[in-house]
Amino acid sequence: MTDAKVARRYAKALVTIGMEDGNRDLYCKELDQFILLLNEYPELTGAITNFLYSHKERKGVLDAVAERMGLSVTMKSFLRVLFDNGRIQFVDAVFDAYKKMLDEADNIVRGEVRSAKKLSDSDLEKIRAAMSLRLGRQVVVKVLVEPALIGGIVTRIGDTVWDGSVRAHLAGLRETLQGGGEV
Amino acid sequence: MSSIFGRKKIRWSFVMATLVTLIWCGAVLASSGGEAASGGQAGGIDKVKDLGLRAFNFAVLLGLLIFACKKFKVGSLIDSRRDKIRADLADLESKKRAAEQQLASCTAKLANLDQEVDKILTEYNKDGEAIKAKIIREAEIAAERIRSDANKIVEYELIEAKSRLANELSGQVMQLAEKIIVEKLADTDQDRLVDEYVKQIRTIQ
Repeated sequence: MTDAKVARRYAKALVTIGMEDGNRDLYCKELDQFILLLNEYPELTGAITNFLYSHKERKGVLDAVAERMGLSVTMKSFLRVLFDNGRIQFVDAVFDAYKKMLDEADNIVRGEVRSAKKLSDSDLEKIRAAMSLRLGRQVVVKVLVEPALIGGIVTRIGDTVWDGSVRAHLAGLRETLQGGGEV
Repeated sequence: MSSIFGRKKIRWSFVMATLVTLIWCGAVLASSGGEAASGGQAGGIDKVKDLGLRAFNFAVLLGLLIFACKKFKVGSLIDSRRDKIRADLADLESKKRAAEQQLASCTAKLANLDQEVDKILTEYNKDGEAIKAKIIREAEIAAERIRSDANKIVEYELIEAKSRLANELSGQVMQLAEKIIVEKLADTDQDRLVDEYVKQIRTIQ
């Protein structure tokens, strides 16, 4: 079984529990904080995942961290299950799959908007609304400023890219000049 | 000659010729001695006697000659020599005829030599013309191929040059356009670009 499949299985279980008890957003937030903590302190990650330490010691560290973070009982249990099954190293992938499943449930699609200049809120809202209308789903975008675009914007959602940058127009013009090549 | 008669026969012939000469000389001396002794009246009788001796001498000589000829088979030798000469003559005659025929053949060939030369020259000219035509034809084909290749190369080089020029030109145009756009692009233009982008998003099928 691949890592992605494993992650999806655990994420689906957590989504189901969160839907039932109405704490899915809380679980999302707690997982996010847990992962941020592990990323911030790599030695903590090592203490939990390194097999040089005994299972009991590593589990003790995990429980202490969860207790100190004030995680919910369900999240503590979920992390213990991951640990006992030897899947704690996939917690990042589980979190990504969890977010995707929540988005699917909420009919949300995520993407990114790159702009040559900082976008105003109104422009961003216009873009988001246009994308939502086009895709028939709620669109959540991350905005990036990229001066190399010269002007205009580029939106990427999933594998689809809508390039409205001046750089793309210039590239098209260059191809036209080269392809049409009557001198 | 020695091969025909042999040395023995030659020796016998020499001995017989000597005997005949001695006998002949003896007869002559005897007759002259008789004349001197008798003289005068007895001249008529002596002449008859001399004639008889001469006849006798001649008969002996003739007998010796006949004997010698029979002894040495001179007739057969002469016959064989004649036959050989006749055979040689026949052989020479046949050789002469062969030579005459060869001469006639050579004469005829010489007479036809000009025609042969003309024929050979004509054939050579004909072959030469054919080879010349073939060479010209092949040269024309090669020239056409070279011309075609050259045209293709020229066309290809022209296309390459056009493409290269277009690339350089488009590169320069793009650099210039980018520079101008960067200088001239205002916030209002960015808003307009966003509006156009949104409109395109809505209209794209």
